[in-house]
Amino acid sequence: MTFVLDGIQDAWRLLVEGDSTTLHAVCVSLSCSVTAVALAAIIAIPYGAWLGFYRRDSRVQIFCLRLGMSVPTVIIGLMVYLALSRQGLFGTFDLLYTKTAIVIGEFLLAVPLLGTLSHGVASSTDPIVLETSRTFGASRLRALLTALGERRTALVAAGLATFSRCLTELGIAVTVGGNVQERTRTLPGAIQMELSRGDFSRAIAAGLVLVSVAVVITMASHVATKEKRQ
Amino acid sequence: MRGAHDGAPCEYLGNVPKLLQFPIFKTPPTTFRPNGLSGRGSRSSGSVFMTKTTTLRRREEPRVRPHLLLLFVTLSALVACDRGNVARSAKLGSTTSTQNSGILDELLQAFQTESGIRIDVITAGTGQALALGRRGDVDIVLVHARDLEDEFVESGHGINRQTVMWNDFVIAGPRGDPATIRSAKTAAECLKQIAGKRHLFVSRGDESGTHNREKKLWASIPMSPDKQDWYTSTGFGMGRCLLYASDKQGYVLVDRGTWLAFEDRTELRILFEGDAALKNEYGAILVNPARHSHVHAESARQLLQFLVSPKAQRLIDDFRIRGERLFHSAQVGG
Repeated sequence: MTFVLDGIQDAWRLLVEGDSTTLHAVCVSLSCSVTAVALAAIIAIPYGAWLGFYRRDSRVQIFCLRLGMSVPTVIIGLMVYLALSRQGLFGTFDLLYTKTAIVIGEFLLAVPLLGTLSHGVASSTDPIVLETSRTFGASRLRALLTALGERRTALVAAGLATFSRCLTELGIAVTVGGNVQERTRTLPGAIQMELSRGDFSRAIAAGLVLVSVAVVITMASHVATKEKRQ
Repeated sequence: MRGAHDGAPCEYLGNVPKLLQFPIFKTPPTTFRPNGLSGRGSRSSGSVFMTKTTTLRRREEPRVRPHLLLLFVTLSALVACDRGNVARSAKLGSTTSTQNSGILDELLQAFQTESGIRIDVITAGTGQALALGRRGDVDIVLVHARDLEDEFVESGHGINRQTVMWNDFVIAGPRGDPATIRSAKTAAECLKQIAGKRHLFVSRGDESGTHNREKKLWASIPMSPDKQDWYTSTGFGMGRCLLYASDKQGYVLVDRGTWLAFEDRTELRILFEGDAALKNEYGAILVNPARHSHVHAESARQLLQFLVSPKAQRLIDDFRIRGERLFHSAQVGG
């Protein structure tokens, strides 16, 4: 059992000294998931909201979204890998084992999730907001954005849920990112790697960092979406 | 539509009884500014409730603090700008044993200092690393399964194979040695005894160099252990496979490098070593640029040259884990 205590001690030392490998993993994790979620938000939120506001009877499209959400991440990883591999459809772009590849994979993970969540937000919004804006002469898109603006708290929560999902993603990051040290190694990938080489202290360190990042994000979202009541 | 309430908004709205419950109508109509409704030229949040009534409503509504989100996005954007600035690079498909032992980091660091070429390491079992080479996803491979390597070169996927270093496999098992392999003469005999006792044997099962050697040993008995209940195929890398064997107290074929790196974390002992059939040679092969025109052939060639250079060979011979020598240079030993 001593190695666990040693590990926690070493983990603390690595964090305090700012170990470059661990810091790189933090950077890769954050930048990839932020980019992926931001790109996904551009498509998924308007689409999900459109379904929720204007196509309430379209069960097929929402089913497709939910179906996309249920695809296991290793399958997403496999598909992206096959597509980006040299002999794949997009092989010429030389994207395999880059951060771009991770972003693509996490984007595919984020779109159905964020779409479904936005659809949920939209369909739980009182349609009166929409009707009012329409009555005041707003276009359909304008009315939709207005109504979404009224539900920004819920949307931020949906975005953060998607972000956490991407941040903690292991299968995609390792399959298409290749877990290259200081280039495409994310925090979960680092934990996996250190565990496989038996360096428990570094694994614990990476784990502590991942937990801290998650805690910071949760706290930020908690503060950002704080409800102000009189 | 817009013309209707531009002129007389109050009358128009008053005609819609359903909307009367909406809080916006609790304020005097004079505060109402129809221009804000189109959303253009008004404040940026895009809400139609841009009148004084908005202020009333806002106190009740959940509020997003934009500055926090902005800070978050900015920080993330900053860390996103950490793209490496090394111009030349190559991808090396290598095995878990070289990476787990730490020798690869040391060699590649020396190489990058000397040449300025950054090497991205994709860690996989030998079989997978060669598959990556066959697909052209890496530029050079460093693997250890001679049969597969020769096949890789003969089929035209790789060129210029060079032996870089060697060490050996050992068979580790529970301290008590229930299958009594300590007294065995050859590695094949060990496996035969383990099979005879039906004692747990833990296999990599991932087409790695170690797994291939193990399959070769089983085939030399000959027998096929795949469907036996005492035979576990894990799919782990060498280190985790060893830890698995330690937890389950099984026998395992392991390369000496990984063994030394993990020795103090396992409850196992080396029970058999020294058979010629356990010699473990690492070879580097360039991915054939004639077949994959995109490979970073020049960087990869320089890496290969470096790996067999006297400097790298000395690094290999001098590499120690807790005072124990892990690898032998190809030039000196043999």
